[in-house]
Amino acid sequence: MPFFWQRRTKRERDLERELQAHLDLEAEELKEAGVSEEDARYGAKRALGNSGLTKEDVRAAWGWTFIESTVQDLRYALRSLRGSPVFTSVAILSLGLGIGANTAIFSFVNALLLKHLPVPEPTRLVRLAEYKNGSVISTVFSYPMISELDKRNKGFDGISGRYPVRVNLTGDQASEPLNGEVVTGRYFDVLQVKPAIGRLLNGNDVTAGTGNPICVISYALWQERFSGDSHILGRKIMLDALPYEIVGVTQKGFFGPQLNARIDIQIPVSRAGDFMHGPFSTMWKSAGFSWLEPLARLQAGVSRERAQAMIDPLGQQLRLELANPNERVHLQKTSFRLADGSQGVNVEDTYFRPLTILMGVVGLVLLIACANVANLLLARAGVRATEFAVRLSLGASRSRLVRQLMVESSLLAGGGGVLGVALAVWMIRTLLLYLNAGRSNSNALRVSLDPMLIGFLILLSLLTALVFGLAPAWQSAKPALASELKIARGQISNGTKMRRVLVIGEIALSMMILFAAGLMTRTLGRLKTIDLGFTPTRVITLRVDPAMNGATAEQSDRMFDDILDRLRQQPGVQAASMAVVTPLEGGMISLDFQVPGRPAKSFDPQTDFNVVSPQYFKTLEQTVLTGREFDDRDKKKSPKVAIVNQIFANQFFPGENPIGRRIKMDEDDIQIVGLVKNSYYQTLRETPGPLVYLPVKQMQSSGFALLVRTSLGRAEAVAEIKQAIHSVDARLPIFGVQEMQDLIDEGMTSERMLTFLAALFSALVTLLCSMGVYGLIAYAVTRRAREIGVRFAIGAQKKDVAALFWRECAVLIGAGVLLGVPLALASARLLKSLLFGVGATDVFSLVLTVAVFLAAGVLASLLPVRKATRIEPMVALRYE
Amino acid sequence: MAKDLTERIELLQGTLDMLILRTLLFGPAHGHQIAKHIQRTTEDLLQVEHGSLYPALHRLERKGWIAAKWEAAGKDMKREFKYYRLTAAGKKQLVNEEAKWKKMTGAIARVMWPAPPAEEEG
Repeated sequence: MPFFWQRRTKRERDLERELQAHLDLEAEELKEAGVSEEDARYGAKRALGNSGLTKEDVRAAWGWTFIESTVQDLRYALRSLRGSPVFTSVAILSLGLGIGANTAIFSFVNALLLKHLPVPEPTRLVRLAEYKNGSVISTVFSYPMISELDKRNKGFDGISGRYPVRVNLTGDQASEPLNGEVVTGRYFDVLQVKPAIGRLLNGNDVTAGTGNPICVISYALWQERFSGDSHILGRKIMLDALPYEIVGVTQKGFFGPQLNARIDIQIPVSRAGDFMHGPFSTMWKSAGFSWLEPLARLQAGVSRERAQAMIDPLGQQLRLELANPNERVHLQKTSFRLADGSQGVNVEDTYFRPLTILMGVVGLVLLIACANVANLLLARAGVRATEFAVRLSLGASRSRLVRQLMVESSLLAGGGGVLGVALAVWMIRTLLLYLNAGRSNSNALRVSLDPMLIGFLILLSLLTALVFGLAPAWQSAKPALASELKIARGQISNGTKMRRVLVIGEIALSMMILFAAGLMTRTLGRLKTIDLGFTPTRVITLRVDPAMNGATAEQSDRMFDDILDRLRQQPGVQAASMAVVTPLEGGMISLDFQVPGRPAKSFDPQTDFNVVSPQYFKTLEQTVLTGREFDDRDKKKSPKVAIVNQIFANQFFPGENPIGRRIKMDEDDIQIVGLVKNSYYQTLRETPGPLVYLPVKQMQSSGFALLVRTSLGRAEAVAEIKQAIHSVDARLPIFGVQEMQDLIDEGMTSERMLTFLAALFSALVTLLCSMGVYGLIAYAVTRRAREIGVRFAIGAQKKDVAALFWRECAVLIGAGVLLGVPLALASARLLKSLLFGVGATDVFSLVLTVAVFLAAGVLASLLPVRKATRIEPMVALRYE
Repeated sequence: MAKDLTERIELLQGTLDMLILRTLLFGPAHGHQIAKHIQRTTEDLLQVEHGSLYPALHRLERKGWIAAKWEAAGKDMKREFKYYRLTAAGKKQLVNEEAKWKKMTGAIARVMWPAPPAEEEG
């Protein structure tokens, strides 16, 4: 069976024959009536009228016309686009970039901001936070608080708490520890997760004592480590060297309440002591120890507002009931608020701002790309005016022409969409490399093109076609002849006016992007040139925890000594030390230090501190200004000592030598033995504050990081370090291996990503704007060639003619800049929280932005203006 | 101009279809013959534009009221013409249209040229 377009060709031929036969007969009749042969032929044609239109009407009678003519339009559009490859590739390229950038960024928004936990009705999940004077003071709560809230609340199906722990599944040779969590009895009720096999944890598993050592594992872990063994239930596994019984496996696809983390093991909260070493092990049920992250499920039909109105007074009452009697007097009024928990316990807040800003930027890029393509289409419509006029007189209907142009636009948008997918895939991969650098595999962000995104892409492409195609199509639907006449008379056609508006709009919108890029570049520059107070290059940091293999505090202590000794003997190691806080990793600890007789100048009662081993300052190359670094003299029983930084010294001992001075911590009397240079502690965006360093032997702590300064390359150094540690104990798990510089770069991830993308898009949109300006000036030169000829003929100088077009260029750029400056300043306010060391109204960036557009305008106009000044009067006049 | 044409086609549409069907009652004919027949029978009062004739023919063909076949004809039987003939469905359609048309003209006539009241009573 022939396809309908094959049938169609035959039918088309038949129609042609039928009408020709009619024409012939008509001519014959006229000839018989005595008219000459030639006249008869013309007479017949005249009598029949517009045969093209007749054919169109006949085709309409066939039906199918819509599909057939669309197929025809498609074929015609393809041919016409192939006919102008430069136009087509520029259009598809700019649309592809726009669509690709939007798809890529939207995929991140989708993955990080829109995704829900894979549990039933995630929108009923809520998080709880405690507020004082309108700002958050706590997002974690004590076990008694959570269990009382769960018991006494109204409006909730359940309120649970959890705390993430690292769990070493021993038996496997020193592998990377798994992510696990300790959970309250209501945890699985709240999430409404079902077991794949066995049972999940419930309230009976959390008892007044420590309860039974049982755990629940993830479906994936069951498959990967235990090959889906059907006899897994009841089996004992070694978690941190303690036997734990597996009682169940969670449903497939469930990885805990953190969207971008993979949590494989759940353990009853009463067993927390097994996994949280140090002084915390017995504190899990203390009301004074806030640590559990709450997650609650609203009853069906209860709004978050109503639930909050019920939980707030209950929370406040419990605060009072649970407070220690001496504290009650000092208790300040707090309030309890609920937040969306559909994304789990910790939302990737870090990316919210950069992503929303990027979404805006790529939206602008697409808009600019659309304006650019619309501009090109208008220019093309001008060139094709004759073609349209001919087609109209041959019987094409006007609506058909508009449709034809829309088909062309859709093809361009479709091409852009296809290119966009490829670009989006590339961009997603590149961005993930950026963002996942330094994240462990189980915490890595996962972003991919999913069906929702394909839908977004198709919608975006269609919308794009509509946006950029409509204006030109509307333009060409107007009588072509009239506008052509107007141009001939030297007036400006509507098409040109529209193109000017488009170019000015492009420039204004682009300025927003360039200004943002300028601000971000300056921010990044400021962040990079911060004097950290130490040298982060060639320092490897990593973590080991002997307690994970069941070591006691003393054993652990000895093991660290052995490890540090061994490390210091390695040829490639220049210094090795350990510390509780790795600077700029984001963590902090603080304590109440007092200086007898010297009230602190600041009102902050707590001072940040760190617990460090000998060689710490040598490892970081942090200058010891006076006094000494800790050494082997600072033993557990020897006199307590501390090292302070310059800010601390200036605060308490202004203008004096702090060495030998005493500070108090609780009952301990501590002597200052060293003064070190100020350094950054928690984040790059902080203002360094007072800091106290205490020796490891004199301060019971856990969770040490090892810091090693090496002269080797990264890979060699890591291998050497691992070997040294395993020569002390081959079963010790090593994790979190990182170069300190990476840690710092990681702290600038969003800034670098934003800067990189903003710069990329800036270059792109500047190019698009230049193309727009070039197109308009070049067109004006062609259009006014005769006028220029006349001017030259009557004695105009080259510079007079050039001035004509420079004025046009100045108008375009000037209007764009005038419009763009307020837009740029207004939009930069959204960036404010991301800036560092530079204001949102930074004059330097603004001037630079304007300068870029002036330069771009001049460059774009240079060629056409030169062409105008070289017009030969005679040639120009003869041309028309 | 284009607008005028469409208005005329619309005005004539129903009747042109009927006239074509009626013409084909005499036997198969090609487009030119049909046009000429209508023109001659109405003594050139009705000019059938080929811009409306051919769309109408193809429309009727699609509705199944007429069928078409290419046949050789002319002086030397060398030229082929597309001959249309009435189908059974077309005949039925013609009867319907005719009845409707009769009613319509009757009704219009009564409005335009009312009979004297006396006669109406009788």
